[in-house]
Order: sequence, then structure tokens, then C-alpha cells
Amino acid sequence: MQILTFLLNDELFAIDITLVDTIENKMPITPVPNCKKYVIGLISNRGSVIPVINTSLILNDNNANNIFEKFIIINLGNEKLALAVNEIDDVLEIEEKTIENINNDEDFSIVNVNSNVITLLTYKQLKKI
Amino acid sequence: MKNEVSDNIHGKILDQELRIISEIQASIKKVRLIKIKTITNSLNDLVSKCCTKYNNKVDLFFEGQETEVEDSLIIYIHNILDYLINDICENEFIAFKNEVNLIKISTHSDGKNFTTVIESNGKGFDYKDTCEKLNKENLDLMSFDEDEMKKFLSTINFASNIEKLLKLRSDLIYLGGNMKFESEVNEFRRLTIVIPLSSSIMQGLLVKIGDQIFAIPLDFIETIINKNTVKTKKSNKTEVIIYMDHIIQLVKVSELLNIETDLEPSCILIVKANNKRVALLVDSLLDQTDMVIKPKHSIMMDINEIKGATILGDGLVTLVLDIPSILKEI
Repeated sequence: MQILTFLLNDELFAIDITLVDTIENKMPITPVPNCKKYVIGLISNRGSVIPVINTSLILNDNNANNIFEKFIIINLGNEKLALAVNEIDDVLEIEEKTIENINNDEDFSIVNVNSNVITLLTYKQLKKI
Repeated sequence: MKNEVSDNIHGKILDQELRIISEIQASIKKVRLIKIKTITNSLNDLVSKCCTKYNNKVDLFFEGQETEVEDSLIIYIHNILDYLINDICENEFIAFKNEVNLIKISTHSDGKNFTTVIESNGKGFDYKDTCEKLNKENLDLMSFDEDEMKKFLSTINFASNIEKLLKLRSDLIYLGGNMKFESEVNEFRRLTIVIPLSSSIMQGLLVKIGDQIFAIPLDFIETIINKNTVKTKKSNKTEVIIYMDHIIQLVKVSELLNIETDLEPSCILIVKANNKRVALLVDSLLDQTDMVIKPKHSIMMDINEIKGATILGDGLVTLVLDIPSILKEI
């Protein structure tokens, strides 16, 4: 299984690469009034309108004043979402059995790669957005 | 003299450009057309499923399968037919034991409008009686308000999916479509739905509120007036203006959308939908443009003020205001 790792407040996170559609540089975002807090706004990408998610807010990190440099556009079912992140790190090959759950919480999984702990964003977790 | 000549040339070039634009729009529309018969199989499956569920026998006739519609509409139409068929099987046929239960769907399109008629030979309802009960001359659902609509649907026993039918109606109001019921007791019940085809490209007015730009469909705008030419009056804490002997409530769009703005609003747009008028106060007007409205993402479904988004020439996303639902909330 391959994962795409990215940086958020100097912490490493990862996402299953099969979910990823494209990675885009930052572009102008149209804010949406009266919308949920973690939605920064909308961007247009290849003719479709995609909402941008403040990734640090959905990961319970309250430091919302991040400078987002990259958007990871992911496929969730029939719709697309853009995750705003600080920086893209790498694509890693991991063994599926190295994924571990913490506190028996199925949605919260981490992997250990060369003694680096990476939090893995799962499909389930993203679907809740 | 020289000026006249150059004006003439400019005019010609402009004409040519407009012609090319409309040609491109026409061919794009053509590419996106699909024949309605793609949904026939799925509807047949649905009918047989309903037959086993409600234990009766239903025949489905589908006329006009060669009709072409936009691909984005086809799922939409399928969903409408889906719950209408469900409702017919559940309410119409069960209560009225028929030897042969028929559902007839016919579709046709005249280039401008797509019409679908769904007819069943079940219980039906008394057309005249229902009209009298509701104080209406006919059952053209567009002229109903929401409460009348609910009352009407409960009188004709359309119980299963009132919400969906209300949603369909509000969509049709936005697109400029039409739907009406016809019926005769123990004979038939017919629902005609008209969906305008050119709906995907519509004209919009770009307005500025704070530092954000929004689009308002031109169809809803009645007039645009300069704020300085009318006097606002206060009545019971709400601001109103008097325009052509009408008293119209004044609404600040920036407050509605919670946008901070330091600018003094300069324009008043009088918008009209469902026979209701409201004056919207915006900071400034920018431009008029052709736009293709893209549906809202599921994440934004609870924002009623916004109908969807459109991508303008500069590549930026612009939000389109949902005027009928704004008017409903005020």
C-alpha cells in the first residue's frame, strides 16, 4: 500500500494514495458565507468546483492560522474535496499490517515508518466531513 | 466621418463574435445530449420491484424514448420518475383495485422545454372539488405557496414523498419550469412536468458585497435603482422603500450572509419570486455575464442562501444567490 505524506504544523500526516486525485499549488479561494467552519472556500479545478477543507481543523488541531501552500484533491465517492496542507512530503510504500489503531479507535490509525510516527487519514474519517 | 467608419467595423466584428459564441454554445449543448431511453431498464426494474412489494401487477408504458436531454438532467429526471412511480404503486393502485394497472410515461422535447407526463389509471381525485377546496382555478402548482402545496398533497393522498416534490417545485421555480396535476376520480391521475432545457446557461448579474463577488440570475431581477434616488423609511424596526406605490422590504445582503463591509451600499436591486418582492441592498454592480450554474457540493447543502457556484472567465469561482429561498426566509 502506498501513502502520500504531508506536513501540517510540522507534524506528518498521510493519506492512502488511491484516494488522491491530484495535487495543486495554492490558488485563489472563494470564501463561502454561513458555511461550516472547516470549509475555507471553493476553488475551480478542471471545470469543477471543489470545496477546500482546513485540514488542521478536522484533525482537532486548533491552530487554524496556517499558511496553506498545497491542495490535495481527493475523491470521496462521487464528489471531490481539496485538503489544504502546508507542504507535500513524500510517497511511501508501507505494509498494511504495520497500520495500528490507537485506543481501539478504528478511525484513528497510525503507521510507524523508520521510527517516524505518521497519522493516517482513513476513508471513513474523511467521509465524515 | 472616420469615427463612423471605425464604429461600423467594430459593430461588424462584434456581431461576428456574438454569432460564434452562440454557435459554440449550441454545439456544446448538442454534445451533452443523451437519449432518455437509457433510463428505461432501470424504471422497468423499479416497477417490478414495486409490484412485488405491494403485491399487484403494473404495466409500464414509456413513450418518446428517443427524446434527447442534457446528461446532467437525466439522473434528475430519473429520480423524479422513481419516487412518482413509487407513490403511484403505493397509493393509487392499492386503494383502487384495478384489473390492469397502467403507468404511462411520455416525454418530448421541443428544443426549449423538456416535458414529461406521468399518468396512472388508479384512484385519482376529484379535480373540481380539490380546486374549490383550495380556492384555485387550476392545479398549476407553480402558483401555490408552500402551505397550499402541503395541503393539496395531503388531500390527494400523496403522502410518501412530499419533501421531494416540494424540492422539485422549488427547483422548477428557479429554472422557470412548470408542473401541474390533472385527474378524474377512478379514471386517471396525470402529472405534467416541464423543465426548460436552456437552464444550464443563464444570464447573471455580478454584484459586489464587501470584498466578495456574487451572481444573481437576471430572471429574478425586476429593476435596479440608485440608492440615493429613493428614501428609506423605518417601520417596526425593518427598513422599507416605496417604489411605484409598492412598499418593499429592504434587506442588506451583507447582513444576510454575515459579510463585513466598510463600504456604503450604493445600489438597490428589486428582486421578485413567487409574487413576492424584496429590495436587496448591495455595495456595487460589476457586470452582466453568461454563466453555467454548477450544483452545490454536499458539504454546503445546509446553506439555503446559495444555489450553486459558477466559474467565470477569470477562472475564479463565484457563488450564485438563491433568490427564491432568500425571499422565503425573510
